[in-house]
Amino acid sequence: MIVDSHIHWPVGANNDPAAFLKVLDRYGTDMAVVSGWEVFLRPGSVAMWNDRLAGFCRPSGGRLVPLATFYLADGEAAVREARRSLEELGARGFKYHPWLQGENIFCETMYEVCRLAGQFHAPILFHDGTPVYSLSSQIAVLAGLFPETLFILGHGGILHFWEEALEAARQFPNIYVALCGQHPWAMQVACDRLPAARLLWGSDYVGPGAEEFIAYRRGLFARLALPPEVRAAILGENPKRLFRLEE
Amino acid sequence: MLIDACCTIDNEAVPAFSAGRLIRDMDLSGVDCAVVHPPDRCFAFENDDGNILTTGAAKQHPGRFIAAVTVNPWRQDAYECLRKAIDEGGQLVSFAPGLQGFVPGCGPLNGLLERLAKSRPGGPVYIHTGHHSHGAPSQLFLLAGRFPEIRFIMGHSGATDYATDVVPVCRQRPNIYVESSFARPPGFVGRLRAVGWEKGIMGSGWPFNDLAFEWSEMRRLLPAEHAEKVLGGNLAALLGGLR
Repeated sequence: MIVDSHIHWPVGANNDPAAFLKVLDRYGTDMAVVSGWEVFLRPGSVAMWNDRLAGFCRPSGGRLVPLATFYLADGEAAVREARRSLEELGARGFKYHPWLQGENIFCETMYEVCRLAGQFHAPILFHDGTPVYSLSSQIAVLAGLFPETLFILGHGGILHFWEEALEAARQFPNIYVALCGQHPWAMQVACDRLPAARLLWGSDYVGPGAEEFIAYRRGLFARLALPPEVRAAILGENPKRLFRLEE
Repeated sequence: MLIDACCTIDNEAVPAFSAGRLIRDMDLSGVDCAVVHPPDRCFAFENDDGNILTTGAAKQHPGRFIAAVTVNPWRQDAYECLRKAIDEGGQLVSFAPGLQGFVPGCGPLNGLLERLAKSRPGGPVYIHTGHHSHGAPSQLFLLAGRFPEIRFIMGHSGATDYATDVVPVCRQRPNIYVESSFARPPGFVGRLRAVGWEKGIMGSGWPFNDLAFEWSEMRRLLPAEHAEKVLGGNLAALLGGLR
């Protein structure tokens, strides 16, 4: 079982799930926890983008699972949209990209979303590893404020903050780390030091034309020194449990 | 000649960074030569130790290593330290602004480069980029504009968060070359189409990256007609025609 836990698809540019499933098939990926793409780049109704992503995933027979998003500047409406995504659209969590979305994460609206996510056991997958709003340590501050909420460091600190990400995960048991974007040295250290149950794998594929990134990141993961059971947990069991993929 | 432009060695007390292990990995991938950079602590503080390490390795393994040497430009004796390292065999001057605490294009590096350019005209300068506030490609853009006679290598091509800056910077600065380590072969090759194949330099990022995998991916993705240049020819020409 291979689940890609950090992957995007531009539903505005291509609304055909068959095209996406074909890409997943090509790389032997069984399931994908899908974030949108355009929603992080352009203004407009976030509800419309969440609707489109959910509609895109729906006919996939459970292989595609959506992550919704929200804009903090929307205030209470952001919290309502987050709740609607979980209750009505079948979202299994949220993707939030503070850098692209251009918002400071320390505000009451984010706190409300964190509370909501905790109530629904819905993880929040953050872009991390980029100042000034997306440091791994900033996500750790949220994790400390909301111990019932599950936080995923979507890049485990990327290149420059991977040690910070490990320390964040060491201090906060509600932090998970995606092996997605770090160099393999950092990935190996994460696997060696963190409980296997708190690791995920992702390609960060962003849509048509970027398929080589799936091959590359799968290749990096394949070369890590891991016991088979740990490899299976990272690729399959952990995301299945975290995102409740079998419900 | 196949050259890997970015490998990091340390002393034998750190086995994963040993020169012997690097040569073994190079041989397994058919890589002729590698630029060996000092470890992070030697960029930040123990500059002389790092320079002795890399120039010593190059002497111990003739033809296999190109010694990168550095100095923290805040040091009062920065030029003398660097000059000594070059005289000992350093072929590529390398700076890591994030580790050394300066902003490229500003402050202490400028004075050092002015003296270096006079004493060593044509010698390339490698700048590690990608750190968010100390090593953005746009900062190198300013530095390269101030020193048009110096050829700069943009180490790591701004990886990861400044990948989008590489093309507009390089289009305006013909004295900037781009190095691939940590920039991931699929993205790097795509940007070379816009920057120019004659500006591309292959680096694996060993030992943080797997040398064999990085080389196999780059070989697979580069157009055959440009591979020789990117995999060593461009760097050899920059360094004065290594054969």
